[in-house]
Amino acid sequence: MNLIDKYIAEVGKHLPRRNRSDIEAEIRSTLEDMLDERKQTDGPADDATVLALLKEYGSPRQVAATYKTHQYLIGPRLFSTFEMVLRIVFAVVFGVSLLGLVIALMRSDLTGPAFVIAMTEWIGGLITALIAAFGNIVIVFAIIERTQAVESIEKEFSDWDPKELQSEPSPDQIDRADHIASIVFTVIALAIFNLYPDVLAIRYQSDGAWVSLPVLTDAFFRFLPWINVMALIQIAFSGFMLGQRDWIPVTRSFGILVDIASMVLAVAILRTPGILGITPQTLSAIGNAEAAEALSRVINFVPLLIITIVVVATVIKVGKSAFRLLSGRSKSPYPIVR
Amino acid sequence: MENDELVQNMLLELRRGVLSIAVLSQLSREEYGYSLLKALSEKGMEIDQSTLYPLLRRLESQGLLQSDWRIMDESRPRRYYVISTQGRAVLGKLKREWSAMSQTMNQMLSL
Repeated sequence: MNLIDKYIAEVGKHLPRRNRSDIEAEIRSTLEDMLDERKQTDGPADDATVLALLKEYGSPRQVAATYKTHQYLIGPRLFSTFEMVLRIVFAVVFGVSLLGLVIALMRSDLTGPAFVIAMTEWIGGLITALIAAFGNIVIVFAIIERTQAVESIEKEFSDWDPKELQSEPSPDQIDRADHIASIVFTVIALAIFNLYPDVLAIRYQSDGAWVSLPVLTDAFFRFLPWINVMALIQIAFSGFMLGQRDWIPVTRSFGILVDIASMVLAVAILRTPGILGITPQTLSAIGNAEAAEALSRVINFVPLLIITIVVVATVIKVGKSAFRLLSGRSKSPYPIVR
Repeated sequence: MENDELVQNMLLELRRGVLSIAVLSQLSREEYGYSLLKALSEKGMEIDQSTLYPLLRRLESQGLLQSDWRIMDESRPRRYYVISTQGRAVLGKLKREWSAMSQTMNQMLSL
């Protein structure tokens, strides 16, 4: 087997099976033509001449690659759609995984090693899920790239109607995502306070037995009827607003009232003494009394912090809402010439 | 120089479109790959064999060229390419477009 035969056999290994013999024959014919030309100018060809010729022609893998029609898995026509789908799927996978972590942590005893194990398992699971999602999406898009499906996607792009462009969002337009999030989180809070109050507890091992220290006391749960009423009003209001398109003065006013009522209730609860079950006495049962004293001081600072955050957030939200209610000003930064 | 690479990439893109027209224009009579390579080179259109052969196959698969293996004056078989009827029609349109485009570009570039 001479050098040219070896070269062509190597190129053939990387060629598509369908046209392999035809392409091999054409490369051979070209190489022999090139060699003939060199013989005419430089005299008889030896191995060095052939080696120089093959080197010039290119590496077998590179030469074979030029004959392949698809040199990419996902081409430029589909890449932006691929990126968009990837972002959405990654966000969903991360969200679901995070929910799994929260549930796992709520069920676990949150002791040092158990917490570390739970976190490690979560990170491992998340990475595996993201890689699997990435792989599956790449496979689906690679199939679309190689079938006629890509043409139907392109047709959808070419059929777009400029009339479908949305106008500048009105400041009165309702953000549905806000209301959906409000309903979901309120339902979760209601379920925890009414059905699973035990979840809100610190668990520790004492004399070989697990002891549960509730974070919230009966003083807090005395407010539960009020919390439930406020939560139901909030859910009903958000549910109603989901069916609306824009804020109107009546709904804005009612929204402001609900926000103020929620803030008043939150401040009233958080200012009530003894709502937290974590005191120096209960903590000292865990171990070091000095550490318990310091820890309880920190924990008892939490209600004040929450009051501040709730009040500031509500004032900003109510302020914005009231401003829109009273002025109805456009968000456009440009003066409107009439 | 940073600009050299930029210019090279832009020239590559520019040549990619022009090469198809150049190849079609030179195949009114039969040529095999290497003789076409030489013919194009003599007219100032340098082209690498790794670009030419896949291009010939693509043009043939699009129906713009026809080819067959033949043994002419020597004993070695060679694949001869020639423009097809569809290729002639396409080349005619491309020539008109090229003429209009080059005129516009010359005006724009004040050449």
